[in-house]
Amino acid sequence: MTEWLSRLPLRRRIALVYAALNALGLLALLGFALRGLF
Amino acid sequence: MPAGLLILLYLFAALLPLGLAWAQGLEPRSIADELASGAGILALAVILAEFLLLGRYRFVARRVGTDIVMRMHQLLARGAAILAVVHPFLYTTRRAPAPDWDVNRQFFVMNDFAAIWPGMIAWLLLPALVLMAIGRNALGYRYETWRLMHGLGAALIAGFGVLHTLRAGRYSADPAMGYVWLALLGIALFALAYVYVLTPLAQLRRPWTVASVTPAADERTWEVTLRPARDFTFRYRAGQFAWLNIGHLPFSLSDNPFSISSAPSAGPEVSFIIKELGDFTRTIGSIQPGTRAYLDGPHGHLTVADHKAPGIALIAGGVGIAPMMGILRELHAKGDTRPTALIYGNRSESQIAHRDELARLAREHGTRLTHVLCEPPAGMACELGLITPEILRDHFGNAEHRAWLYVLCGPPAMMEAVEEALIALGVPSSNILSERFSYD
Repeated sequence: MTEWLSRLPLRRRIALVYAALNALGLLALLGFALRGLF
Repeated sequence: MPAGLLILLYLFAALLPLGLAWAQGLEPRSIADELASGAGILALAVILAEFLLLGRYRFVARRVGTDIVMRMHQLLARGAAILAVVHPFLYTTRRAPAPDWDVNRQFFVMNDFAAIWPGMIAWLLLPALVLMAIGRNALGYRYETWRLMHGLGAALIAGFGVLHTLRAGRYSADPAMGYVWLALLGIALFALAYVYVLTPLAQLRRPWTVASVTPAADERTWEVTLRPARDFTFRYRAGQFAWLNIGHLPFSLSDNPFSISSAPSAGPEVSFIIKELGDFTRTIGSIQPGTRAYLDGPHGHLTVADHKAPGIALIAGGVGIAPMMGILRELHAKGDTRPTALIYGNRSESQIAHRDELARLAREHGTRLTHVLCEPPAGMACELGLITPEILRDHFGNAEHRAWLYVLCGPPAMMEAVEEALIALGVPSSNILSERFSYD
């Protein structure tokens, strides 16, 4: 994983962090909206 | 503080209001209604956290890199704008002034005008602000005008957004959540005031004077040198940059980022290599010595001081030579014995800055200097065309070069191509430093 990350250009590392933040935000939002189902 | 911890802090700030809403334990309404409220809460929290992702906010920028902070600022704002724009359309519950018996706003979505109007203003302003930022160059605004509108617009969106959620929000009716919103708004506005008010105030106490403006190349490139107008020390590291304001008060928003080309050990004077490209830079050649100037800085992480790499490669395109001059001058002044190489790309010979000094540094310091020119004059020893992967392989293709530190500065396309070529040669990305002044 570290080796793979170290071979990623900066632009792709930024895109990766952005995608991870979006995924976490979306997950939190869906969890909040669907909490009535559980 | 490492970058990973800053990301966790950001996540905490952005998700805290949603977590508090969840923790209130209110009976969930329909999924669409909860999605609508959640989207509004998340959008507002991200918007408030945006104020900490400012390139000028050194606490964050110096650990992550100004250009990375600014890129995240841009991208996250777009996501928040989408959430904010869709959030009012997701509600399915009846919209009406909530009756007294609906204490927890279970059956009605608040539609009192007093609660809705601040949200409507923020709802209109946010996408406008994001679109204006995306199309900033195409719209042709003066930089100072755009900056003022962006700062003012962001403050209004934050203020009206918080007012809206406090008056209309089902979850923000909880006093603890209300205090959290006010605290987040306070932190956001303080961050803005730090950049727009406190930093300029500090600059007033540290004025500079233009000592000289001299041609650095034959073609529209100048070296501007400033001298402290009072007795103070400006501490910086070779390769960093500062926001430079010449001839205006610090509050005028007329500052622009430029790389420092002088060596810290050379004394209190600070120099910048500036090419005539935009509104402000076109007037550089006519600036008179003695003109008052102000600096916000130093900023940036394009420095070799913290790195113990066995060799240093500097790869510059055009005016990207500025931080490299600072680094080379400092390495030479300090007697650093590590091998150095400079690959310097330009369109033509007339664009080469400090050609004689570079040749002298190559002789005296032993720097391997390679000019790369698209239109070279007859008889000049240089590489032809652009800085290609082949040129980089010729210079840095040995196994020992993988441990070197590579410093890149120049046009974004050049930096991306060089970075990919270096990674293909086996150089880990942690050994590649770069800084962009264009974030898209």
